[in-house]
Amino acid sequence: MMRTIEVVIVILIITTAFITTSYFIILPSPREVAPQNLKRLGFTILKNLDSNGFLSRAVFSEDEQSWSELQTALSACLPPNVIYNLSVFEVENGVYSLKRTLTNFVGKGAFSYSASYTVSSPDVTYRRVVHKISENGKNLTLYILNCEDANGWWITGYTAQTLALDLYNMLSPYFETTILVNSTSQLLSLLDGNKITSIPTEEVMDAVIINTFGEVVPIPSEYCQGGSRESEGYDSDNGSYARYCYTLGKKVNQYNWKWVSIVGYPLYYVTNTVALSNSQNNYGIYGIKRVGPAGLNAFLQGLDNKAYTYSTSWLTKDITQAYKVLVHFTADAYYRSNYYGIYPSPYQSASRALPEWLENSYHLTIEADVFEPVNGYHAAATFKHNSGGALVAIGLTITPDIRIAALALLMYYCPVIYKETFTAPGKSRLVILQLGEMGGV
Amino acid sequence: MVSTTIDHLIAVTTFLVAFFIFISLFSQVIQAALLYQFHSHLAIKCSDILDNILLSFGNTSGVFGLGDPNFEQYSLNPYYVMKLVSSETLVEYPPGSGIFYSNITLGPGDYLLVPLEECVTYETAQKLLGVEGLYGFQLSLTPVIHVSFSNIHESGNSLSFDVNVNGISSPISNANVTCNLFYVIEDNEEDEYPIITFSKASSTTDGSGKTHFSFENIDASKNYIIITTVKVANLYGVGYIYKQALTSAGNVIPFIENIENGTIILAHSWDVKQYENNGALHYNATFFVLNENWELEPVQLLGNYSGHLNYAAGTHGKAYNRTQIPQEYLKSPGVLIVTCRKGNEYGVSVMPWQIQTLSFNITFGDDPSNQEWVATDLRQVLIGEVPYQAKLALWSLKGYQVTKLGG
Repeated sequence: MMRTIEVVIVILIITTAFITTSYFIILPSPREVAPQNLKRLGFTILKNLDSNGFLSRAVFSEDEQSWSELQTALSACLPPNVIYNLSVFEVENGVYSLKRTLTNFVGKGAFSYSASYTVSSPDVTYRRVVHKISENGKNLTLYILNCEDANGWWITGYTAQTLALDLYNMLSPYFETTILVNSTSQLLSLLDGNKITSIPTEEVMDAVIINTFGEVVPIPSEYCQGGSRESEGYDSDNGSYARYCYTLGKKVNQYNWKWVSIVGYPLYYVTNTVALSNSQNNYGIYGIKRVGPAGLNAFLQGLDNKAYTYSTSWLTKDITQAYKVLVHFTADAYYRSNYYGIYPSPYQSASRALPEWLENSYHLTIEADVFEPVNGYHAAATFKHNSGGALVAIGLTITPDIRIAALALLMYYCPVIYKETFTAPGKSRLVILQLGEMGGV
Repeated sequence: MVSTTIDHLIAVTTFLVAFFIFISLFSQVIQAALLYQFHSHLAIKCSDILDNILLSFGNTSGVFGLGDPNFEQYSLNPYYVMKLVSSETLVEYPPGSGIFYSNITLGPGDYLLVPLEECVTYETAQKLLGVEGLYGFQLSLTPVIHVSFSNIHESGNSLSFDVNVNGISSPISNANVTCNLFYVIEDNEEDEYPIITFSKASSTTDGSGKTHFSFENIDASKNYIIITTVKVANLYGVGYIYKQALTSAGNVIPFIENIENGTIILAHSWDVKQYENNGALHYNATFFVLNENWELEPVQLLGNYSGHLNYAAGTHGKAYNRTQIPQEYLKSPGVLIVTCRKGNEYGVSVMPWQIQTLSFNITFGDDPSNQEWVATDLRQVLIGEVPYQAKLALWSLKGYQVTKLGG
């Protein structure tokens, strides 16, 4: 009898556990699971309305007819289940004052998404001429890795593709040519020194390559185990793709590339969703294979034209954890942040800062520190090799802020911006389009 | 001893039953959460891929994109859009030649037939996007401004009708509407091809998005086509309607032979195996360019823009006639109107040069119906100055319970 009572007690405990768990597990509504990107829809509508300068004319107009046209166009463009609220703010001396609101909804709407767009008065011309980044007398090409057949890690909350898009928008004005590398096969061409587009200004030599995949680096299938270039990509003795990182380092040196790692431990994993589809990164993300610290060691050997040796020694330091400090901007970073209008937080936690001794070991020079070094560790800086090529390593903690990577690059190249100073007040207005969905769950 | 054993048996049995019930309950919760995770991932992927398609430039090798490098973001290049292989059945012309055309045909008189060899197929797009074997998709481009016609009355030498202008969700009031009426003028000579002329009028829509047009002193008895352009704020829309597409001998179907040099094949519809109607046709092709003010201007075509077409010509030597858009107008949007005649019957066919000039819809990719879970996302894009709603439907081809059975 006693055992039965015990079992009943166990059942009661498990039932309680289940009820308690079920109480706390609240699955999101279907709309939250697969939401329409209303923010992006709002932005594209504002952008289209501003083609030919209509939006600028309308929001600065005192004429009711223009506002009426704007409202008609907005209503025409949006699906019937989407409500909108368009607010126009006057921007004067950094103060935003509401000028007018247009809406198709009366009551308390759930406006979940908003897109903003700044317009200037149609009778004002702003001039902002950017000096394109150049080296050795020629304009450089920016490649942004956007491979669809690759997965990212340590970029939680984003995808590599959204990061690539944001970087494109942020940095393309500074480069003569900006190219998205959309697949690992295009990356393969690039590694072979070939152009991947027919754009005449594309230059593979001296280019800047931004890896948007976080701690992971895309690998063409040819370099994978069983591929035609396995010997350059896979270290069969140690079962590691550190060999690919070594090849990458050599290419960076050979083509004088600036390789940008946007967050975390550089080259800690490799990714190819086809060739490595059965591998996962120990956290359940498939298409990724762990290389570990051997990746960065091999990369630096390649960059320094040393012979390849498999080394798993850990290079970075969690300075926030070890010294209980946040890293903070250098004076130059503050200046450049203002100069280029890029404003990430000047205080960050850095768990993958690289050590200063790399300079001597691999013939590197550390340049353009974004953050003040802490006890010989650099949280975000350019590690330039003396004979060509560089690694821009942003060793901050997850989640990435790509503005830091952009700032690091701009601090390294220091492109000049020629701005026309314009001080007349009331010539800028901010348009915010808020959208919300009606009906459904 | 016996009671202890019974107690033991009851306890173990009860425990096992309870254990499996709870395993089942917990696994259901976990399964639902995992499915939600997959679906959420699919929605993010959908948004990414749609942006990739709309923002990448299709003029670069190894890239699938519709963006126009000469304009701002989310402005699509009309020629790249024209080169998307339609989900409709391909058309082979001449029959048995092995030359296929992508078929964006909206009705018996509306054609956009582009050579397949210049087009991008769904499979190629999947490869270039890096989603081959992982995701299926369908991209549809639909004009935001929809124009339709109602209450059409022909009496003697006048023609009147209502034009209705609608946005995606509601009628559009105070829209500026311009109607271009193209009509076949009198021609009694049996061997002569039909000639068209045109007349124009403008108006503004009322609160219900409607406006009325009446054309006097025109001959609407033979055939006509009305092309209406609408301007709302800085956005344009186009609508059109014609009296009749077919004669008893069918009509003339235009094929774009080469987009780069603007050569167009004019074929008898019987030869294209579209209709059974046979008989010889006299035809006249006219090209109208849409200028910066969105006014249609006639342009003199090159080659055999007018003449005589016999049915079954494909099996008797000469297969078709060929005309060409002049080089200087190749980059301009326009409309090709081909009128044809058999005796006293007049047919017409129209073809946009750049997809937006007749607000053609585009559907590219696979069919999303019958898929287990489809994520969709929307953007608004401009083609020319015509706003289109770009919608991407994306579904997974791999994964547990996220694909249909056997999918």
